[in-house]
Amino acid sequence: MTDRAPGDEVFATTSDMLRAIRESDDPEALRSLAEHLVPLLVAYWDAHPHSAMESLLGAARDLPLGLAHPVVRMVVQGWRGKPTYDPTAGTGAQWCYLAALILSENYDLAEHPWADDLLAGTLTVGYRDMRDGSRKMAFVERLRRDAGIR
Amino acid sequence: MSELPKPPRGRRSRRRGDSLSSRAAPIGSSRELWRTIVARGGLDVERYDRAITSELARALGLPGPDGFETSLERHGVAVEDLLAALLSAIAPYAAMLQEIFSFFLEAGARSSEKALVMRFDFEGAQELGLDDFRDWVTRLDAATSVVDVPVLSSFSGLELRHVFVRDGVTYRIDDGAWTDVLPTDRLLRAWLDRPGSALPPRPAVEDPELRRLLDQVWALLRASESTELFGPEDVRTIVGGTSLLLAAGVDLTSPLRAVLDGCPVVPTRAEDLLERLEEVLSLPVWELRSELYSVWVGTRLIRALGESARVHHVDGSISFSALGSHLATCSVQPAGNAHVIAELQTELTAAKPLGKGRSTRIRPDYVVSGEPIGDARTTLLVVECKQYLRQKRKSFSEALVDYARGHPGAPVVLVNYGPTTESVLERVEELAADVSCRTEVIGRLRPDCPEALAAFARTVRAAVPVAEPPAPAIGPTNLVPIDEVSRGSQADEEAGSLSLAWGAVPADLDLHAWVQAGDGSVEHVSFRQKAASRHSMHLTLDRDVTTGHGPETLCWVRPRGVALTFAVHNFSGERSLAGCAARIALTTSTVRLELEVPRTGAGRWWRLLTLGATGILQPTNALSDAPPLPAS
Repeated sequence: MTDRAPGDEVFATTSDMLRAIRESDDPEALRSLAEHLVPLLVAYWDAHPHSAMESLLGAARDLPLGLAHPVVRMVVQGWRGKPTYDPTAGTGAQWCYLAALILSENYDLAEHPWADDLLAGTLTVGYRDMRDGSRKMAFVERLRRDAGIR
Repeated sequence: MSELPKPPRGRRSRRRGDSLSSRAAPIGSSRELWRTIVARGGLDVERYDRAITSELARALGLPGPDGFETSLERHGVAVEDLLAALLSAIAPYAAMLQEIFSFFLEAGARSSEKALVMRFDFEGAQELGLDDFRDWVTRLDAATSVVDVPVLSSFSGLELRHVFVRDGVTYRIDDGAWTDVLPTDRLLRAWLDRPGSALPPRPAVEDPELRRLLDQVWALLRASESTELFGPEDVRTIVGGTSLLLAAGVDLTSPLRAVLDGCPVVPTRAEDLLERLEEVLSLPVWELRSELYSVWVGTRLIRALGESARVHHVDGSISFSALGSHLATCSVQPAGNAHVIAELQTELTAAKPLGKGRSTRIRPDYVVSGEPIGDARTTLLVVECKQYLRQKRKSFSEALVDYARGHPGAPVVLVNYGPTTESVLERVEELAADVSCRTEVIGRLRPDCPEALAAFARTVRAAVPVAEPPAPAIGPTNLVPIDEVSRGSQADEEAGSLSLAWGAVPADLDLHAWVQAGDGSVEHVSFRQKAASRHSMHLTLDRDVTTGHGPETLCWVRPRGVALTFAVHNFSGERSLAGCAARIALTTSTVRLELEVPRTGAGRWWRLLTLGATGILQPTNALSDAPPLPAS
């Protein structure tokens, strides 16, 4: 039997599911994947907040906006219910968390001043090959204009 | 007050256990149900509740109120259908009660009294407190919402919530933070400021499909306390978002269908409908429904006078008395006050009254009087309320003539719960041509008829010259003289804003912008579509103010090659634009300009200026009958 580090299983399942999301164009399948992804991403926090935030961004990018919104919102609500919740727990992946909120139109959940410190850097990232990319980029552009970033 | 006969008090008192829904044998037919409701629920279908019978017949596709019971059987109307139709016919009362409650709430909030009560004195004194209204509003609104409630997962609940979130319409980004946009409706804003109070009624929409979908949404919101599907913030987002998105003309039907139509539903059982009906009929306010309509019209009258109207209360009591009540006062131009008085008695000496049973002492529901009060020559407006489903040409026209003769010089408006036709005014013309030009009839004045509500507000504002408080200051004050501007100046190609402010009248001015791209395409932004985002152009209108003053603001970021044209439309049209003191302030990084509406000219459009594709500012500043570019 192979020893597995804590979170290996959730990591593997989440990765498989995000890959399936990227590769699917079937609305019903995407919806089902999105719903099943939520508890996984919530549980992922306990294993590795850094990776959980990266995966959340993956979901926000690759799901259509209509599904990305509820997924990100439910996951964030789940994380916030945990005693270990801290937005800075993702260390270098904190911007992924903030980016997921922006791209999924959940920026109202951004915690200030935590978000203020990360915003400029998050807005200068190149976001490409997203589902519903133009709609999601409109949110980024709006924040860029507000922040005076060209 | 409506001339309907009043039901005897206490006629609906029932013995313990004598309820509609707890009968030993189930109700087998709609005819049997109707008999039961009439007998035990206390409906006076021949007289007092004939209006409800008529509405029921119409909703169920039956010939009419006569022989209603027989028609139910002959047409095979199902028990559930009769119950649903009955509750729907009662629904506008729930909306009226909600508005009275909000009015009451606001009046209480403005006064120093904590325990304001509303005193009805029409048939024996009744004092109704805020808690009474809150309780009735909640129960009546819930009871009259007849929908099959969808079953939503938490995931679908958030999908539904997202339908009511829209960049530039329901929220803005300011200084890096998400800012919710507030609806302009004062009642709704009051509710949003007081989370936990009774849910506002579902907004009125004409499209039956959208109405069905919003009914389902509202049913979910009501149930959210027990289902925990939505938290308080979600409820606020959905309620506020509905108002904002409908005002902006955003299509809600398609996204709501996408979420709701795939969900299983829990059909409402006949027993539940019966329980709801019993709940409505047992509410004390049901016995006050005739008075309720008149009181609701009174609140609409006072609201139409604007925010400066002061509601009077004595020892914490707002009185609606058959003996006359001084309800509110507002300042009028050029000086003095206008007073809203319920049931003000005036002597009709000029002619013999036409109305059957009317003495020489006339007492319309509401008189808006100048000063001195009580002198009919100072009357500014007379309002008479009728609660008929079908107009009574004879009695309506005679009331108009009598009140017009009793208040020489004042406009007289008769409002009715049901529809009206021109035939009433034609009859007025026949009876008394000298007063006909001062009379008006507004039919279907009820919460679910926005056109009639707007017409009534216009009539009030046209009759009462409310003194305008100073217009709010708008943005920059660096004035660039017109002659200097007309030479053209280099406008900024990047960001800018244009704000509009005005006085109390006209109540509803609208900012419009047209975005013209180099390829010839034009995008029109107004209260109907509050944002433009094609051609890398971002332009948003912050809100639609419909109650005077403004400000409304357009903000944009535009690339080179895109031209912007701006205009103001006099939507409500109570007075002309010329000289109405409306003004705009334009700000870009290189230009600041203020313009005041021209003092001369005609037309409902004020053409402002164009920011050309090359950056040249081209002011127009003229009134016109047409917009500068086609309005979508």
